Amino acid sequence: VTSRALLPSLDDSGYGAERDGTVKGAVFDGIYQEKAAFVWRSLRRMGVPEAHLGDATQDVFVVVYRGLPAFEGRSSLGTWLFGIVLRVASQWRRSVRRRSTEPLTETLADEQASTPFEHAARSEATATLYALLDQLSPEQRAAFVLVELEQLSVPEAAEAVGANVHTLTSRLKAARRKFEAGLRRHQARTERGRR
Amino acid sequence: MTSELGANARALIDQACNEEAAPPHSELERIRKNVVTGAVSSAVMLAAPHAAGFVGGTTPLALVVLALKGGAAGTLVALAAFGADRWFASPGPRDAAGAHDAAPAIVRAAPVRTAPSRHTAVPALPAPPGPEGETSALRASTGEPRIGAAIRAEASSRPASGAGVGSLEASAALHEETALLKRVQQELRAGRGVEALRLLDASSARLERGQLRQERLAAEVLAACQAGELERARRSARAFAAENPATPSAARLRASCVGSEFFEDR
Repeated sequence: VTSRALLPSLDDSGYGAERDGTVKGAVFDGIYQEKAAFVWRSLRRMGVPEAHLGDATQDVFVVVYRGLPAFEGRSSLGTWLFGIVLRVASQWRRSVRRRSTEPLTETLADEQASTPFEHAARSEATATLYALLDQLSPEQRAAFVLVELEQLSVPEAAEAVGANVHTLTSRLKAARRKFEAGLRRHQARTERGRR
Repeated sequence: MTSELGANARALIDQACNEEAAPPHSELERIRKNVVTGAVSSAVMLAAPHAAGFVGGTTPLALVVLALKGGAAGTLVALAAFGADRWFASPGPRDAAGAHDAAPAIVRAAPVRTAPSRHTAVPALPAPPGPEGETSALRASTGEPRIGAAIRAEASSRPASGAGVGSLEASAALHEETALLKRVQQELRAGRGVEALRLLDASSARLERGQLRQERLAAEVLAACQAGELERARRSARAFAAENPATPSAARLRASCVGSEFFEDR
């Protein structure tokens, strides 16, 4: 269901030990093969519009590719990767907001754009989930996605976002409250619509 | 930590996670190629003789070629000439918050945007040849870490053979294509569709088999629309839609002058 299964394998993968002065193309390919879908999904969950997911995923892996030689494995590759996802997603959200008033040639894609993939991705449940996530602040959203969707422990999630456990717990509680309240409102609206 | 979410919320999340579609394989493959090729191109173009100066009496290009031809030994020699200790001394991330800081030194040092263009999905490349490119390359040649990493990436991503020459040519072609798209984008932003079309036409034969055909076609549709050449916009849009039926880039063209004909809401 989630990428939880992937994260532990990265924790002990020894990718960091590959830092012998040269980037191993095979290492990058291995990481990409294993984590590209996870990065794509995480970016979406962190609020990158579907029309921009390809470009944002590319941004993440440009950073990974270039940063791999310097990665020393002090943190797990999984949390390092998610940290990059958070920052890229944040840049994309800002960028999309800024460009939303610019002409087509500048924006080129709009948030409502839809390809067959996007259409398929928008089941009612996923659409509701994304809408509810959109109501959270970026910090709350990161905490919620990591713990509730990726099913990381609170300490792991705290490491991924660079916060202490106490802060992460507070954000998570607030996120849960907002999410539950939003869901109740959504269900009430849906119920009214059926009558 | 046990989830404290209610049953409804938990059920929604589980269902949504199960239904989330996997990204299109073709799109992921395109991204992988862009990332790898882009990083390699950066190394090559930074080292281009017209842009970079001399370092220790050896041109950066020579160092790259040395690294390419000499395998591990060549890489070490090349790195030594550049002051490899500086590259290896760069610290790794202390925690996840330092994620960007890890890659980092490399990314921040870049005077140009290291991430690929949002609009054209092209790989990250330094500025095209010219005063700006020269400045950035010279700066890089004075010892900023990204060159070391770029060279390491370049050297290690290839077998120790003479295959580097073909790749150098491919990288140069990709750089040209990227620079072209940048200029086309500038013309489009300035509302000069005719000029954007002229740029595309001038290079169409040379870049016929380029790696960024999808992006060039998309730019052509937009330029033709802006220039009032509807027939041409239709032709390009038809080709784009036929070749790229399910890419997020198609969404970019939906609001163009011919978007409703070829890129319907789906």
